[in-house]
Amino acid sequence: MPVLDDYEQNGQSVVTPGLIATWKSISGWAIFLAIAGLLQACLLLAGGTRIKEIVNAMRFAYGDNDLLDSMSESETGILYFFLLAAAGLAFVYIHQLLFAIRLRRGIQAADQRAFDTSWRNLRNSFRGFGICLIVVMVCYLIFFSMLLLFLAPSS
Amino acid sequence: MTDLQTNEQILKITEQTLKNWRETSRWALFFAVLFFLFTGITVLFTLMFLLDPSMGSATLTGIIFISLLFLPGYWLARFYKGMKNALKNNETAGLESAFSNLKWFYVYSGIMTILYFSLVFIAMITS
Repeated sequence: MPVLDDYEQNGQSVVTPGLIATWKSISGWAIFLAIAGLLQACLLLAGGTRIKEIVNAMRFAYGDNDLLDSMSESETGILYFFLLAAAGLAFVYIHQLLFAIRLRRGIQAADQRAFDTSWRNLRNSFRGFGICLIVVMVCYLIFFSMLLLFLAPSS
Repeated sequence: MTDLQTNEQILKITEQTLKNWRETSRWALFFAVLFFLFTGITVLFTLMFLLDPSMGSATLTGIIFISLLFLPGYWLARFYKGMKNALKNNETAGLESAFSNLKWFYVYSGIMTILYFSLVFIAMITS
């Protein structure tokens, strides 16, 4: 079985043709996913900044109701939420894009620095997405706890 | 000798890269656990739908969702396991297997994204 040591040169490990082929494939899909993710972040940003118009359009389509009233009251809060979500998504997908571009450059031009930095970008992308998920889960937990607290006295 | 072979001899796996791989694989395990958790919840709901014969379409949707949620979790968990073994035993074969699983996760995510955008596009045209 080949071991990393078999590929060692001057005490450092080098990559295999199999790994290069896999990384090329990963970087191609990562570029696509990053562009799609950044597009979603832009849509979130556009939605957040035009929340007043969206609420008005919904009011025109469905008429007045409590949900739309509460949305109107918390427009600033919704705007901040959308901005935060867009910033989180942008951070994750910019690092994903940098990972893919630098990995490609590292492989094609044998650029060791780009190769090393690309893996730091992938780590940052995974870390950023993980932290965003934890924040969302904590928000859900707080929201449902508050909902249960409000419902408890009435039942 | 091709350029590819030349580059693979020049590029080196540094200690910092190994550290980054280790942390990335740990986050991948976290995502895999979440995928499995949601798969479990979907399985429970699907079993509840199975008991009610009038919920046939919901059962089918549940089965589709189970397969959609399980696969990415499986590949991410295999990426973590492969990376852990490769770093522990200094195995290139383990490293290749780990990255192969990460590649499948990326391929799957890409295809799902294409499907998602296609559905949004179709919905925009039909409405």
